[in-house]
Amino acid sequence: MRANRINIVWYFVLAIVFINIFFYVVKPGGEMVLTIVSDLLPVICSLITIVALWGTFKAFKVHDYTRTAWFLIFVGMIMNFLGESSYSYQEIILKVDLANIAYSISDLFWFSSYLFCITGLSILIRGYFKSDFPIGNQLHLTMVMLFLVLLIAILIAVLLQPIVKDVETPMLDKVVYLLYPIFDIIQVIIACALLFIVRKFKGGLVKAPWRLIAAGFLFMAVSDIMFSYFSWNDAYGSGNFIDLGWNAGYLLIAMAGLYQKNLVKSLDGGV
Amino acid sequence: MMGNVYANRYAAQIFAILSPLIGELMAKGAIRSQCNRLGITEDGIEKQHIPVLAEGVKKAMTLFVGSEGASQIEKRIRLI
Repeated sequence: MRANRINIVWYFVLAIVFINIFFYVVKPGGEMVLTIVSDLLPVICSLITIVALWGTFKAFKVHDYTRTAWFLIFVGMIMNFLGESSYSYQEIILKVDLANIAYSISDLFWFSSYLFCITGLSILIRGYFKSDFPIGNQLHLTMVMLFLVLLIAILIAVLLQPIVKDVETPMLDKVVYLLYPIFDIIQVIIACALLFIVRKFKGGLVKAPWRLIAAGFLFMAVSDIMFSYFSWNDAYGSGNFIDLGWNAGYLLIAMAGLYQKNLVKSLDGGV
Repeated sequence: MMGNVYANRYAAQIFAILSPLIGELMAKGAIRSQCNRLGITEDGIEKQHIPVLAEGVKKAMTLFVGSEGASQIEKRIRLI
């Protein structure tokens, strides 16, 4: 895919984000339309990501750990798509009030997605540490680690402790409520590690896919954490701006896939 | 642009192959770490070091471009 084609895809991505913002701000058609749009946009965005990542996976012709990593992220996105689709189906077609249910079939897909994506991203990070590329400034690494420890401590205090201490919520519901922030914290750590690594590749073509995939997962994790906080405090409803983070996250991961595919294809021509 | 930073022609050519892909900073880092493995400096690269250096670069680059892409980079370095 040439640079001007990638630019066209970027315009398309921006258009989706603007449509998202437009519906959340103007609310044409009222709450009903807002619910449909906020349910369907993540389905569309995750589907776009699946298509993009399938292209990335196919671009890697030899099976190796890099291909495995991208494949796992691709499967993770399929799980996300199934999660988003089943959620929309339950809310729009079956009219289930999902805000008052602790878990549904969608959560099963989303939990599976975490496992695939976290494993895929971990393979990339492990690959980096096993490659002979320099790790970088120890002081910067220590500062990032301290920031993450602080972030985790805050999230445990704000998100996890109230759930653990709650005596009214059944145990299984608690487990579901706890698992999301725990997976999200892991996702934030991995995304920050990727961003830490990628900042040193200034001017290199490998930078774009890694930066975009890190940003995508960071957007999704932050939205998830905010969702966990607001939904635990009964402050979340369909059409919330938090949804924008998920949709942008999906689209950034799709763009990461396109850049990665371009990079691999650019080397196809041989010597 | 940092441009050519090596007096050694092999190091300069490896740098020219790697820097568009991984940036100038990491290209220098990658050449240095491959040289360290061989127990030489960047200025000490000679023709006989090229196959081992190319193999090392291939291994590292697999992470970003997959085995096939990394093999193409290895071939380019071997042709120096």
